Amino acid sequence: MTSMIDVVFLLLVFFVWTSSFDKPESDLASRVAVSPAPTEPTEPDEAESKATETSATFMANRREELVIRILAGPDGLRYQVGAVAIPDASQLRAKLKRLATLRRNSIVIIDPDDTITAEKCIEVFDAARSEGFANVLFAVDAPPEP
Amino acid sequence: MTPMIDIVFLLIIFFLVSSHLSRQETRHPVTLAEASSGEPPEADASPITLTLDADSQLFFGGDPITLDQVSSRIRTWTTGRDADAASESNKVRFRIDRVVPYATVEAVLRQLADVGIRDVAIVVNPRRTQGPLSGATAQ
Repeated sequence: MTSMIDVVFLLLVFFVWTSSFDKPESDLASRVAVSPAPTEPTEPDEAESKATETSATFMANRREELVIRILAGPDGLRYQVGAVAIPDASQLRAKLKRLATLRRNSIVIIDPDDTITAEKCIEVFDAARSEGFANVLFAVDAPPEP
Repeated sequence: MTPMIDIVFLLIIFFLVSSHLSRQETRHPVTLAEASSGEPPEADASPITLTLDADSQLFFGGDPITLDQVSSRIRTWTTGRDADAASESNKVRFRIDRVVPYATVEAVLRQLADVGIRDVAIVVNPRRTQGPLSGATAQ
């Protein structure tokens, strides 16, 4: 009897010790979107034909991007999708839902103001992912020139 | 015979427990944000874990570091694993306390981008209930 109690006691200690009381965690896959640093203008004569081509690709890429700004207003948060201002969270959600049916393959870039907390950023991030956008990124401004 | 089995059993317990605790030591306690679209982390991958706590203190695994040390720590980490620092396969799990302002988060993301790491997974607590941005108004 005593040895059985020993074993049971050891098992009890083992399971208490190894059980994790941390909350489960999950990952939101993301990438970092770095805004391009302003570049020096290149030599005009040589780069002219290339420039039109590059700007065409650039504009094509731009069209695929959907930038959501999160702005800190005097009375709470405001949002801006592309150039369209959106006053509150529920309308943002509705807007994202409509956009997701049209442009599901777009890259969504979230660009919050500096003072917005991580929680609010992740809320918008989560909303975009929940609506079906596969590529959601956080924007990082290019470092200021020294 | 019995005392030997006792000892062996104790040794097994010791190693199981110590390996379990060493896995947990990268989890600096922070209050993560909640999200419903998260995926469970890959079990076999051993990505770099960065933690940003409520006081904007940054941790690399369990070690407190400054913002300037991020790139050098990541380079050391990848060199130790014989990998390329700018490799596409490098993945960072980023645990952010929910109260940290985005300016601080952005500074860390910029450091990661400078090293060449673009694959950053934001770690959250899974949410069961509906949040403020998910709701019936969308229908």
